Amino acid sequence: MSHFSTIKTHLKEKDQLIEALNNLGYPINQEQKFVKGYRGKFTAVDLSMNLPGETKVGFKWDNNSNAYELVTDLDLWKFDIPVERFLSKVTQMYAYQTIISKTKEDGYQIVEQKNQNDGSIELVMTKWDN
Amino acid sequence: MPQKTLRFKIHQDGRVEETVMGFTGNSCDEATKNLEDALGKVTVKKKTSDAFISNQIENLKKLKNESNVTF
Repeated sequence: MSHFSTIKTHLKEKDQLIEALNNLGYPINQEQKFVKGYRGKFTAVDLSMNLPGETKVGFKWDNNSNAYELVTDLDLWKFDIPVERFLSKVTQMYAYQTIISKTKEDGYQIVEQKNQNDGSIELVMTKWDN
Repeated sequence: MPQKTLRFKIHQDGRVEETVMGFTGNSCDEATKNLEDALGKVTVKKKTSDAFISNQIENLKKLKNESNVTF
């Protein structure tokens, strides 16, 4: 059988999130465990980064949503793209990394990869059945 | 030896459209379960046309076996 699914991506796995951030050129800061979040309150995070313009951003595991959530002080946001755009870029790259690594584990090979004009990434993977 | 194909469109907002082809029975659900779990939440899922066709073939085979008729 075949199926067609639409999936809303959540940042669920730490390894793929780190890979996505590195791929986008946002290196993780291993030392920093706290980031100024909502109303300037310091919040413990699982991952943190210094974005250009001294913008500090972290990701913290949230048990309610069962995913990593962004922590940042919006008053101090000086990065050249808006925070929503930053988060969608990270989410798109996370989805890409997750697809690549999970399908590789299952023995699939990439046969096609295209960056479309609408900003989406198209991927085709195949595997021959044994 | 059928070829199994996974096709993805990853939108700018991270939404993923996935098309899974070339599987027999319900194995297509199994094939992408781990991936779907790691990605997030499936919001829409439908069987595609060739799933419908293979279902039809299975139904025909079943009918044939049950009715014990030789064609």
